[in-house]
Amino acid sequence: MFGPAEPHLLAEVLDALDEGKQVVVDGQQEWRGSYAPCLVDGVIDLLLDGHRGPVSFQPERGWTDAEIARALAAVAGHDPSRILPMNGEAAMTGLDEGGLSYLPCLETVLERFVGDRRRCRDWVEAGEILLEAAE
Amino acid sequence: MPISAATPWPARANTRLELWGGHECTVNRVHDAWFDQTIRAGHQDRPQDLALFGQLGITRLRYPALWERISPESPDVQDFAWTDERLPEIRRLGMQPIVTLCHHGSGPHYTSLLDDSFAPGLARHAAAVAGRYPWIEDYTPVNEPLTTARFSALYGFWYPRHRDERAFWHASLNEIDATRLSMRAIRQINPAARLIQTDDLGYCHASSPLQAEADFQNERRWMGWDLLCGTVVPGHPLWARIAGFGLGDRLRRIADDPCPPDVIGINHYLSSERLLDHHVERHGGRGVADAGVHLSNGVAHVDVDAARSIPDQVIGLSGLIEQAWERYRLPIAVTECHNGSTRDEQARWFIEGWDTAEALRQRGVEVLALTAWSLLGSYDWNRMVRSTGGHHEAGVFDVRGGEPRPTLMARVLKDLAEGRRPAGPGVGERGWWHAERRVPTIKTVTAAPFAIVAGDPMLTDAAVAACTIRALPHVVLDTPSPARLAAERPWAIFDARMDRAATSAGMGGIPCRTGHHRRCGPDRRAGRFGCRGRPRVADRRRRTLVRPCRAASAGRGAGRPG
Repeated sequence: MFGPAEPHLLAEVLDALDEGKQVVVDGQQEWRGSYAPCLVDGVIDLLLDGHRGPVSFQPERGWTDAEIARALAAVAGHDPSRILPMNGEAAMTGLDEGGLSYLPCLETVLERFVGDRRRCRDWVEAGEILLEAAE
Repeated sequence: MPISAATPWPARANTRLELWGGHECTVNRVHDAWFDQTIRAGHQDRPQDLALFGQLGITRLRYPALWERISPESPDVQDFAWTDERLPEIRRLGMQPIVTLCHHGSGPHYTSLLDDSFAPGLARHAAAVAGRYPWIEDYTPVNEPLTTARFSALYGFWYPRHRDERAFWHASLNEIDATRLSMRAIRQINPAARLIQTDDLGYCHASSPLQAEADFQNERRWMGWDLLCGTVVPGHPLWARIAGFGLGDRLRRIADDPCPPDVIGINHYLSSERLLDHHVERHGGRGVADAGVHLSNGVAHVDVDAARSIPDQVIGLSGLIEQAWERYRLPIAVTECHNGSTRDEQARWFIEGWDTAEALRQRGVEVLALTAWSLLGSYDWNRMVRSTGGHHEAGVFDVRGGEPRPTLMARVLKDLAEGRRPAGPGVGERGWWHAERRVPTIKTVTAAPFAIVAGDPMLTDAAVAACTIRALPHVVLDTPSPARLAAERPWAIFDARMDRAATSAGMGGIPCRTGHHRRCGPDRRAGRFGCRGRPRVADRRRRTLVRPCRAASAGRGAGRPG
């Protein structure tokens, strides 16, 4: 699981791309992540629907770090060729689980993450807090 | 011979506001690929969906008998097997079909929106449909002609992908001719047939340098209905502009032989009301080179949702319906009402539309119906259906599991159709598009809260943020003790603690368990990126158990927020 503010692969890649850097990522490592805001929204939607029973918020397939970084670059308006895979590059075929996931599709998740991450950066740079306690 | 409706719409005094429905049935073409939403949603192979639609209380169902699907290869070869199975079934279930013949399409491969064969070709298809189903009374030969012409001939999104104003008007007039000729052909078989003419109705706001462009667009939005009503004659605000493209004779022919709609069908979305703003820097820091920045008479500007940028200035559905009523004095239906957002905001949007229609009826505006659109959701409208990307907007039913699963919207629609006020978590607040939702307020909340059991900081924060953005009353609990739960009486519990087993929360319900990755096993890359928990292959099974509290379920009745 990943969020908009914490350090992780996608945050590091996006920050580097936004700074105009090239990014070296692993071409063999598998990446799978559920974006926490999408997961939470999906859970609340299902609760409002009155849905019962087990559901999955696991991504339906996996990507290599290089694949996900290129997809992120494209969504964020950067040239995907700035992503440089190291250790060769595996194709993450055969990893599909075939199950239903209630996560949005990858592109939708990445679009939301990019917007959220950039807003977080703006807020931090402005010295504002990200989120106040609820109570 | 002028064409007019033979059967007027039933007098409003004898009717209630009706609930209409429809699944997203667009068949649009990009290059040589056709994108068919009926197939995408799985309805192609699920005739049993119709019974689910009927159970909502829908009285009229917008339904496709599309040219591209029935005569895909040749105008001489028609395959009605699919509609033969479904259209009579719709009637048997107590609904009247409103048949659409062309829904954002450019026709089969042997024609196009800019081809002289388009209008007579669609009329031939219309005659075949009416001949096969002579009992059908309501038709929309061309759905949203102006929107389709804009996307296909002005913006270059869809086939034939032109990008010039003359092509836009040419396509628009072809669609209007197709509508006129189709209704003529249909009425030769069924003189009682009615034209329900849909189009997107919005409004364009602008900063000063762009006011002329906004004025033009605010005239253009009426053109589909104006042309059909025969009012585009010398003196009409856009007559000279269109005639200037060498289309004056065609305008005269249409005005001399109009085909006024029996119902003005208004499709209105949160994105229908626009703001043209030359203050580009105010809108997400987009650069002029971004695809989202346009040029109009040399003025660089953004074209953005007014609801997000100037929420206190939007006209809204009520004002737009009043404008249409003043202009045409014809019965009106909201023929698409949908908000691609979270479930609560979808419900708020529809309920507000229903309240608006009821209020306007009280004031004498002849609003017939509100249409639950996208009954089965829609795909890839975030990219204007130019390619397949997987983006999905849930509708009244969520079809991602292969079978339609009723959502909160199904209950809301059934309540409204049966005269009940929808109630329960998520529906009582005003939608995010209202200006007052942008201002933090402190108020006393009496509704049952959504309980968040604090745990993993990222997940807890995400839950609190989601509830705040969605205006869902919520409470954060350090520990879900039975006493605290009894005091709060939450309608659902979200347990953000890591690795919790699904256990009773003390009220008979089982909390939502988010058993995300058990450990943040440091992999060989973690140090480099400071990753705190990227799941590895062996950890990739992750399931969430979702169940509302019993106490809550017993009492239950366009776009995400920016």
